[in-house]
Amino acid sequence: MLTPLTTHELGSLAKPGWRVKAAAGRPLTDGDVDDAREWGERLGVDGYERLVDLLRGSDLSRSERVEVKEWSSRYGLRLFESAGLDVVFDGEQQRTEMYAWAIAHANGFEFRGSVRSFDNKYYSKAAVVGPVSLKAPFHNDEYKLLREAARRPLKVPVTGPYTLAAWSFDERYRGQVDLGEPLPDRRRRYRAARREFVLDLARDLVRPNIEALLALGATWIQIDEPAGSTEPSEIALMAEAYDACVSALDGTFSTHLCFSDYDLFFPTLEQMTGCQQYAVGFANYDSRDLGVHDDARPGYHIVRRFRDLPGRPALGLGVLDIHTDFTESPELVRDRILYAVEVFGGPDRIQVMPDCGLRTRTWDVAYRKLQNMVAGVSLARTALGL
Amino acid sequence: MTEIGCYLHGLYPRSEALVAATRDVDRGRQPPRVVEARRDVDRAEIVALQRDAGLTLVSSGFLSWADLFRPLVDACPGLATGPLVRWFDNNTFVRTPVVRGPFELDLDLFAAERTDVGLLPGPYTFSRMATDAGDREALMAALARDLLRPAAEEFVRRGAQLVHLQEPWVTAHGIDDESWPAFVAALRVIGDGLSAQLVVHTYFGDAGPLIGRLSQLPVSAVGVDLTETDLAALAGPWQTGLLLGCLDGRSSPIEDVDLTVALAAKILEATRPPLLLLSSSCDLDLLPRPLADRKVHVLGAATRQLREAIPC
Repeated sequence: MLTPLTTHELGSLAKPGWRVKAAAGRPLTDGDVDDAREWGERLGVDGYERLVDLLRGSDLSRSERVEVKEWSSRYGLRLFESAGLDVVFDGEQQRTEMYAWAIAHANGFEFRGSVRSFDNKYYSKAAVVGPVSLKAPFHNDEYKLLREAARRPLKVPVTGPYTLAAWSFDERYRGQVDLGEPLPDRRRRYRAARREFVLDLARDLVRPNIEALLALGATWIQIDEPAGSTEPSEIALMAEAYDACVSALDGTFSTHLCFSDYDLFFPTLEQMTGCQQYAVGFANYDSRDLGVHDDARPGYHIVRRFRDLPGRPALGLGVLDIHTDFTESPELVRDRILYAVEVFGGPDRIQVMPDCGLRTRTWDVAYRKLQNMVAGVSLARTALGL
Repeated sequence: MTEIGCYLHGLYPRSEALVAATRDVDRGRQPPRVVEARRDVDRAEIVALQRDAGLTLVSSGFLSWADLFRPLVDACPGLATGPLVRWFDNNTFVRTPVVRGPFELDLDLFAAERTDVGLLPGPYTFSRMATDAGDREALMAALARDLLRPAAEEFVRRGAQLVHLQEPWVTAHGIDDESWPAFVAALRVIGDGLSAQLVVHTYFGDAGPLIGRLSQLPVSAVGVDLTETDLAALAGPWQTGLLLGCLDGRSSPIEDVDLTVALAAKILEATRPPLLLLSSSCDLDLLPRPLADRKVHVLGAATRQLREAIPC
C-alpha cells in the first residue's frame, strides 16, 4: 500500500446535519433531505434514495437511526473515493469523536465534562478511575460495514494510548498529590504513574482492539498520536507504547502526529521501529507561495529529520491546512510534494494527505481541498516523470 | 504584617450550555444573540459563585476570549493570527500572534471586560509566542509600551483593581540573563503609575531557580505554580507580594481545604510577604466547569481559614 505518492485520508470528516439530527432524535428539515439527495447524487452513492426515503419519514425507529449512521459512513467513504484518494476510510462517521469513542468503550473511565481544545472547539474529557480494559472491540462493526462498501483499500485510524492518557485526567494511578512533598519526589511519582497508565492503555485497550481488526482482515492500522509531543520528556513513552500496541502483529502500522514542534520528536522516534509511515501535518506552518525552494516552504524544512530515520519509514506528507477554508491550488500542493521529494531524494517514501482530519470544514470545502490535493499529486507525478 | 487575599486569574471554563450554544452558532443553527445571552447567564453565575465563595476580587471569567492573545490581536492592526500552536504542555492550542506592523490598540475593538481582575499576556511570553523576524527584546519593549500598557489602563478605566499578567514562558522555557533587564523594564512600563495592583504570574514550570530575581520584580505580587515548584525554594523574606498557585488547574481531584491552608501557612511563615494571594496554578479553563466551580469554593474556604489561623 505504501507506494510512491499514494494519497490517503486522515481522520474525521464533519458529520452531515441529517446524521447528527437523526442520531439525536431531532426533527429533520427539508434542507436536510435535500442535502442527503444532493450529496448522494454528487458522490455517486449507490442506493442513496433509500436514505432520502428514510429521512422523509417521521419518528425514526432505533434501527432506522442506526441505518442512517451507516449511510453516513457510505457517504464519507464515497466522498474520499470520488475525490480520487487511493486509500480511504469513512471520516469516522460511526464514532462520536476520536477520544470519546475509545473511552466510552473502555472500562475504568468516567467523563468529567467539556474542556477547550482551541477557539470554540471543545472535547469531552474523562478521568481514569479504575482498572483499564476493553469492554468490546469498538471498531469492528465499522470495519465490517466499510469492508463491504469500499471500492478502494482501507486504512483504519485508531486513537493511540499516549493520546488517550494525555487527554484524560488521572484519578487512579497518581494518587493524592502532596504539594509539600519535594519536587523531585513528586516528579518521580508522576512519571511512574503516567508510564503505568499509558502502558496499561496500550496493552489492555488499544492492542486487543487492533488484534480484533486484524482478525477481520484489516491490513493497515494508523495509530493516531496527536498528543505525542505534549510533554517532550514523554516522547520515549509514546514510542514504547506504540510498540506495545503492534509488536509481533502482522500488518502495516503507521502513526499520525500533528500540530507540534516536530523537532521535539527527534532523536526519540528512532526507537519506534514498528512504524512504517509517519503521517505528519506541515501545511499549517507553511506559506501559500508557490515554489520549491526553502524560503517558499518554511513548513516543510523539518521533513529532513523524517528522511533520516532508521528503517527508512515512509512520510505521510500533510499538504492541506485543515483549519482554514482556503483551498490549496493543485500547483501549491505540487510544490509542497516536490520540495519533500527533493529532500528525500525521490518519491518512493512520500505519500500525500491532509494535515489532519477535516472535521472542522464543511463537506464542500473538504471535498474541494481533497480534489485539489489529488490534482496536485497528478501535477507532481508529471513533473517527476512518473 | 501580611495582607491575605484570593482571586481567580485567567480564562474560566464555559458551561456545557454555553459550549453547546457556541457550537450551534458556529454551525449556523442559531443566531449569534443566543451565545451572547447564554454568556451573560454564565458570567452572572461565575460572579455569584466567586462572591458566594468569598473571593477578595471578582473576575468576569473572560468567557468571550478565544485565547489569551486573541482580544489584543483582534484590536491591533499591527498583529494578525497565525498558525495553531500547542499551549505549552497541554492539549490546548492558541493561534500565534504574527507581527505585521506597529502596535496601536483600538480601544473600540478591545474586549476589555468589566472586572475586578484585568487579564493580559505578560510581555516576555507575548514576545516569545509571537512570530516576528526582529529582535525579541525590542518586540517586548514595543508590546509593553504600545499594547499592554494601554490595555492595562483600559481595564483600570473599566474598574479593574488588579491587572494580572500571565508569564508561563519564564518558567516553562526559561529566560536568559541578557533578557532579564528588558523584562524588568517592560514590567515597569506596564505598571509604573498604574492605578491598580500589577501581578505577574509564572506557571507551567519550576520557579525555584528564578526565585531570587522574581521576588524583586517591580510588581505588587509574583505568582508561582506550586504544582511545579519546590516549597523549599520559597524561602524569604519576600519584599514583594506572593501569589500561590496552590490549586492545580490541570488536575481533576479537588484539593483538601485543610491541606491547602497548611501549605499556605507554611509558605507564609517562611516568606512573610507584604501581600499573600491564593489562586490556581494556571487558568481553570483547562478543567470542565463543574470541577472549576468546586475549586473556587476551596479557594475561598482556604483563604478564610488561613486568615483565621494566621494573625496578620
